[in-house]
Amino acid sequence: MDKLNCFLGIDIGSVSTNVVLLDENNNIVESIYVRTEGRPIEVLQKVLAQLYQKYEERLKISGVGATGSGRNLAAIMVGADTVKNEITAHAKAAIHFIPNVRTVIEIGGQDSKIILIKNEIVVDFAMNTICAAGTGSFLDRQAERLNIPIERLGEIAIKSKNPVRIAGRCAVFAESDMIHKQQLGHLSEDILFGLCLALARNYISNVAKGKTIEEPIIFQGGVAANIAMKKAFEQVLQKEIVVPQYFNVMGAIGIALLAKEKTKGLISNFKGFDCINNSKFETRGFECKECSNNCEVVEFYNNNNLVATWGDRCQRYSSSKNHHVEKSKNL
Amino acid sequence: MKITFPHMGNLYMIAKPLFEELGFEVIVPPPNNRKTLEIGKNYSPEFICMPFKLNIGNFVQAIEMGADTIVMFGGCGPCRFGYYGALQKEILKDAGFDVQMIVIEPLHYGIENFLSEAGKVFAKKNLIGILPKIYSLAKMIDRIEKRVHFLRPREMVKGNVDRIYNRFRIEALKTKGIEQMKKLTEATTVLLDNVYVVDENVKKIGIVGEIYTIIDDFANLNIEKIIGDMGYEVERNLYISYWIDNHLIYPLLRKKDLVVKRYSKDIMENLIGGHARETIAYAKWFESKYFAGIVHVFPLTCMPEIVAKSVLADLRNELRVPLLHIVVDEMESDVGLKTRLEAFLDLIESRSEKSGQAKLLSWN
Repeated sequence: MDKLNCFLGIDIGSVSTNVVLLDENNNIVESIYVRTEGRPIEVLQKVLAQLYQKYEERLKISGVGATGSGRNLAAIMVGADTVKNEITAHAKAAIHFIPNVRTVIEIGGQDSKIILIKNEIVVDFAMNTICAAGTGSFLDRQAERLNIPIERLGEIAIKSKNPVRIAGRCAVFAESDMIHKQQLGHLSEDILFGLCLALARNYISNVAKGKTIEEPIIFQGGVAANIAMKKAFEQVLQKEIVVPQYFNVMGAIGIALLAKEKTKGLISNFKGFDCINNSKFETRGFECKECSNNCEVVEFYNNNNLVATWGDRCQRYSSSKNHHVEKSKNL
Repeated sequence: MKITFPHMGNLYMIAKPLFEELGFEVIVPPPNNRKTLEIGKNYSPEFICMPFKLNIGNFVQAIEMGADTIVMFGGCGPCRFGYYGALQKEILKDAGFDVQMIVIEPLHYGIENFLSEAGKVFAKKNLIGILPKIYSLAKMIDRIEKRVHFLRPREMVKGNVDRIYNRFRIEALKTKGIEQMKKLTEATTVLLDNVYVVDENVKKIGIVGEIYTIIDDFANLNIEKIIGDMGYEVERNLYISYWIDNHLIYPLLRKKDLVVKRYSKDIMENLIGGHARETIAYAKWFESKYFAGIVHVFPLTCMPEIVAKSVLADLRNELRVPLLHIVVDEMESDVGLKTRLEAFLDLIESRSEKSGQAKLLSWN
């Protein structure tokens, strides 16, 4: 039986956990998109167990990368070769699929970002500051309130012929504005497309403020599943927008590509499926009372062994693990 | 009188010996932490900026420790900081704290005003003997901070510099008077000078922005340490001694900061409050010094810095250096900040790798 030599990319976001398997020729062998539901450890273990059941011994992992807001957690769980922020990972994937891409619009669960690229190099980026109005979670919540499955929001909204104007500057105001418009008897589809337009406008005037948006534009992240959001962006920008085939797992693809670059397929830190699935991972937190900083220290245990510590400002706990020595580029 | 004052980075290292030298008992509030912010939030208007909330938190915590007099600096120009002292006085009064508040306005508001308020603290004391010593102490403390920024990315054994610096900050609370503080500062300088350095080409990142949030490491989630640990040297435009120079000494000498004068010319000639002009001028100055990137830090709802941000956005094509804006508020997690910084440094690396292609350095 032939070995399947693959690179594993893991993207743990606030809303979704995405895992991809990339073969040596950068073809996507497997792409999994599941909801994190606030339990990143369990969900990641479950997804990896699925992969293992499907391929068993045939699968050989030559490199692993972790990205997303849960990247540090994931990296320690699986033994990642590279840990990178989601902006770099998303840009990497976008360039991989469309080498001449100039603008990446990425909207995820909690974050929305714009990445400007020129000659395959990221030249500028911006992310939403402070608030998360205009991100996936907000759409999710509104769909739930209107009793519409989030997957169907796009197809309903796109039917709209007469969208309602909604104040999208702030999620709280947008919601009360929407309720107001509902009570006036507007159609659901008009309200929903109005909401998509408001989010698109909000994105252009906040996240993308002061940036020149040039074509080709690529729209990725979970929200790109919503065809009405694509249409709204096209209407607001008056430009064509491309939603790539694997829009929802682009971060994972990007980090798998980066892991491939890093390991060059030679030696991987990957712990092995067996080891990960049979381990018990646990997070415990406490408030340190040593000084008046009162840091909230988070400890991560693997089979009751302390493997990582986060959150202490003075590095009283984390320095014993020499995290910063590993990260240092001097060594 | 038991005197207290708000925290701002290492300000307490100068304020504490100064008041001690003047013969007062000094109560230093606990360093800024989440509890400080929590208390501050309870008493403050909702949309006021984070420094204000931290100030209130400091005051309340200090009052609980027995302080009865608060010394606060007034503001400059139309930035809201100008009325912070007065507003905070009223808030504390409403909340039922029995405390005297002395608000000292900068010199360019007239010498009488300055003297009448400052006189409450400084009267009958030999200031001429004390002030130069305090000034040189401030310079020394800032030099330590600069040295820490220089050493962090270069030290051979990671963590040594932070250990020395943390110890310095804790020990500073135990000293009494200028002499002891000066000895501690000198000892720390010696320790830092003996840190082994790996000589490496380290890129420099400039930090500009609102004074409180760039000086206070709690307010900016320790951004300088994060960047330093990622292997970059940090330099910022505002230090406490710079504030003393700019607001107390230059007006007396009728002098102006030459960098600001030269680089803000034609862009922002008038003072709009806060340090917006400094932000713009120093962003351009850092660029002229071949810094690899500039990080602009300011609190949410800060008017002068929002203006500076828009001006910098317009200057984008002129400034050939990457720029990152960080808005700080009551965020309690630094994950988002780390993501942004990491991506920013990745961007700098990829740009400089291809910097042979000169055109790539421009924005569009």
